[in-house]
Amino acid sequence: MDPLERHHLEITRRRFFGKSLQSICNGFGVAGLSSLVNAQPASAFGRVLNLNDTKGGPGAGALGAPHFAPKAKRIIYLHMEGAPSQIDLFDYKPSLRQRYNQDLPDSVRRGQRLTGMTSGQTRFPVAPSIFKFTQYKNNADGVWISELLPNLASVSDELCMIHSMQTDAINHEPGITFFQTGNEQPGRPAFGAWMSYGLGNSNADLPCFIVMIAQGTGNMQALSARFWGSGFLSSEHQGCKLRSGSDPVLYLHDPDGLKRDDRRKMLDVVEKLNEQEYEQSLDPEIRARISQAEMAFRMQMSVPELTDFTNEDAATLDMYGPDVRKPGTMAANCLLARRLAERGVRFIQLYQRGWDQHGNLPGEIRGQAKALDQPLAALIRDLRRRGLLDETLILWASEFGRTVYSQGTLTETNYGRDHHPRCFTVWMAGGGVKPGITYGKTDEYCYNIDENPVTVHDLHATMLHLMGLDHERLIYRHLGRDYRLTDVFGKVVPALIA
Amino acid sequence: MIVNISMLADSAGGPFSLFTLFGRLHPLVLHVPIGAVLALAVVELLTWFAGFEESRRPHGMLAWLAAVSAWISVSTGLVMHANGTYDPDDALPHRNLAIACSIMITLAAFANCRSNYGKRAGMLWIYRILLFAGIAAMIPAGHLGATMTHGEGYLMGFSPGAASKPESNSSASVESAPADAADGAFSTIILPILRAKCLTCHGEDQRKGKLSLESVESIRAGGKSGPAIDREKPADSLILERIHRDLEEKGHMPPRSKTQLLESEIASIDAWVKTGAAPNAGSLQLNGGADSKPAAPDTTESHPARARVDDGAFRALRDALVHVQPVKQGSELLWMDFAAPAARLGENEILQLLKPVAGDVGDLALNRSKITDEGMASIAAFPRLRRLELRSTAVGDAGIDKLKNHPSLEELILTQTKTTDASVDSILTIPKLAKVYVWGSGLTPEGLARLRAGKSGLQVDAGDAPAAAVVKVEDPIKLSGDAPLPGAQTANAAPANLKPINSVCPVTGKPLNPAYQIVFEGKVIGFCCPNCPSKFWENPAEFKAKIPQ
Repeated sequence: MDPLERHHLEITRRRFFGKSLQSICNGFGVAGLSSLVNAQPASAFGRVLNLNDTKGGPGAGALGAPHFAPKAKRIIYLHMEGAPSQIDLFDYKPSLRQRYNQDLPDSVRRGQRLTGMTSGQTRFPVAPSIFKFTQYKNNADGVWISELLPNLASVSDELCMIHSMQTDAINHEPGITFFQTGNEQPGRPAFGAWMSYGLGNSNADLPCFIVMIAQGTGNMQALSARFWGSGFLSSEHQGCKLRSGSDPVLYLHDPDGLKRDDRRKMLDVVEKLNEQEYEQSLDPEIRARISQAEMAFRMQMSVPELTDFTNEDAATLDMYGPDVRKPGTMAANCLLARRLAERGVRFIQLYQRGWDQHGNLPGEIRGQAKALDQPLAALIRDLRRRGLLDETLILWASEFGRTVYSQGTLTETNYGRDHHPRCFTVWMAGGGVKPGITYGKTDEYCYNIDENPVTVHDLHATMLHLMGLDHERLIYRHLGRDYRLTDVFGKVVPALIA
Repeated sequence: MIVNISMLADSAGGPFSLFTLFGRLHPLVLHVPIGAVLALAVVELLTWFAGFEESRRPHGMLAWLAAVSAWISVSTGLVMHANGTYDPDDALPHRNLAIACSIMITLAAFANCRSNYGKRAGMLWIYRILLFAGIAAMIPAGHLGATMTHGEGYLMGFSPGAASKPESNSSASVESAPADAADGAFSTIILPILRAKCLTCHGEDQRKGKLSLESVESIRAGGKSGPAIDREKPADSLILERIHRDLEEKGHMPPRSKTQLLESEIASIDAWVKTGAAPNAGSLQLNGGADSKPAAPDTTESHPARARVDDGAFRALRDALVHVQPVKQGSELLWMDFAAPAARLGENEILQLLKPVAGDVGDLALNRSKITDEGMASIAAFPRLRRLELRSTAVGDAGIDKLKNHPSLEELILTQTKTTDASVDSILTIPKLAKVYVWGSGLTPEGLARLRAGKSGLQVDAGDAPAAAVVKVEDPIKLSGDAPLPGAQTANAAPANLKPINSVCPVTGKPLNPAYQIVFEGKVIGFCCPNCPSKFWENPAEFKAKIPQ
């Protein structure tokens, strides 16, 4: 291509004005101003990263290295789709047992917004949890956990429980989008995509951001692929979903009769053609395509090895429970998560569907909790004994919590609960969080927060901090604006950090 | 067309000589506006007080001369600043004051024109105020400029009040310094670091804070805050305290806006100061502290080592799909993970890849790789290794034996290795070891007990952590609705069944909607829409007056 024409193509309007202004400013020595108009993302490239030219080393991130020494090297994020009831799992409210079927006082509700599913109800009867709670020893003054999660309770000395989580969204889609991308409207990159962009992967044979979904037994909501999308970041940062069937990644296997050498030759030819196209159009997505083809070629070897449990010993498999041999269960996914953490995958996202218990909650939550409890405890134990937990940050969260009042008919054995964004419980473990503590307090009705509210942006900022990142400096400039996972909000919560 | 403009603009940023020359004219041309402004002030005062009212003609000429030459000075100054390194503490206020002064003088020139030879009194006063304000800005600007060229204390150093002792003291050291430093660790290792990162401000020319770091003598003499090196307790020296101070904290050196010292450079200065800051200790072992093992390669080499590790070594690691990344930005310490190629690389290939970066490996993960006891000899020689992961490898007691007394190792992962009780003693010799993971290894309960008892502060995880103990179990659940309502609520009745006491919404004044009612201080209050109750609760006092009592 004619070099002048190439230069012309590479100059966008913004870049032209930015660069001209920058040159003029440099000429007059106004260095501060020129850095303001410098369109490059702010990052101090380390020496090693200088090798990272446009093609880069596979899996290298844009920052080259974390801003400061990280406590965690990777994240396992378990998202409970549908929003489990904090009142029936973690937030112990014994005094509500004497308020059965009383009306929720307006001084508590304070006219706060309800969903369309209960705003028409004539009464808001208080539904205390019918599940028995037990207090377990942790590193502070103990933590109450319901009888639904006995196995998880046995590792309560590792849990950093946040009772005072709050969110802005009241429906599933914006709620999950907010937790995943830091914004309720779709279109921003997911947390995992930010990790892939900023830090890259420590295993070049596997995608940096892997997503697994376990189906639930209760009321399930849709999970759109945009929850693990890369937004405006290059498409190679999007999450890769591992499917539960016999073929974890679709179209990865070569057809019968095609040798690996032949595949290699084919990819080489395709890459040449793609490079030619790139020379013509300079579209960065073509580069992303080339790198993804190479990744897929490596995954042809790494994924079958990853999903093959034959070298796991029987005791380990038993620890995760009887479902572990069924692909797509929470047990199998938790074991896979451990294997992924072991192989250096940066961001492992697990979804469990089916926590949206608007009615018939006691029955449905039993099934959901049973499928979750043993594998979750096993995951923490297994990571811990292998020396992985101290460098792996686990987050267990949901898009919001559930109401203290019953949706629909309240009886002594049955009730439902509506969405409740004002307060709910999430917990973290490992990866530099303070183990065995509880943080924040809700009011007597578990409706509002009394102490230490934590917003989604605060949680993100704290998690980024544990990954060695300053959330205000993980930036991508898009359409002339700097974007962050925490947008323009978020404060690190030091009390959660060990 | 577009291309040409941007290329031109690009080249303007380059260091071509005419441009530099223009900048260098700054110290010359700046005297023109100073002279013109001062002359203008004198002429103005004369006209004002001595009554030369009729001749206001020179004012205009002088004012315009001052304004135009001021802007030329500003532009030369900006170019000069771009091409040189000046202390921003001086340069930035100097720049801002000079620009402010130029603006005021220019406006004064305009005002003078508009005053029609002093006939319009209002304009004349504006002109006078601007002129003297400009002078007020010019004096500190000039002072800062002089500080940058002549150094601090040039003017006031010989004023009657100033102590002249440190001046004469250090000027004596200037002569003795070069001879002292000849061929020693100072001139070969320390001085180049200082020259690159410190001397711009703390050289003989600048002496910020009265401190010069150009010679051993002047470092010992120190500056305003006292001697930079404590001869009794070198480890407590001020120079070390300042370079180790948190970057965010005031007084950290070099200042935050400047190029920071590398870890290896800090280590070198550390070692040099702690071993007595000798000027000519050619045989000095700079190994990060007097008490560390002599076998460890000295950190004198760690700075030049950066040049020795060529990019080819990193390229080879990347090509082999080994993860290699600095542990944090600005650090030379590396985190390396062989997770991707673990099954493909033979032991020799692994060691070959690691060899060129051996001095920089901090965290090393060799899980599931083909590393064996033989290879451990090389790994054990990595001087800065902090965390070593050997999970699911064939490494056994012979390999662990090689890690004996490792100077920096803090975390060791031996899960599912062939390690047995024979390794316990070797593990216990590692001085800084804080965590060791032995689940799935060949350790017997006796060996484990010995390991746990062997070293206080050593955290041993064998996968046998007990389940969290139960503190208390809740009593059998009894549901009832007999608890009294909180706060001022008295009635147990559902408020929706009651009639509101107000007839219009207290927030908006619109008619009520029966769906939106609250109980406030025992009264039912109605609202027009779902948004009003929350507004009401935000500040009940504000709306209380609008409710019928």
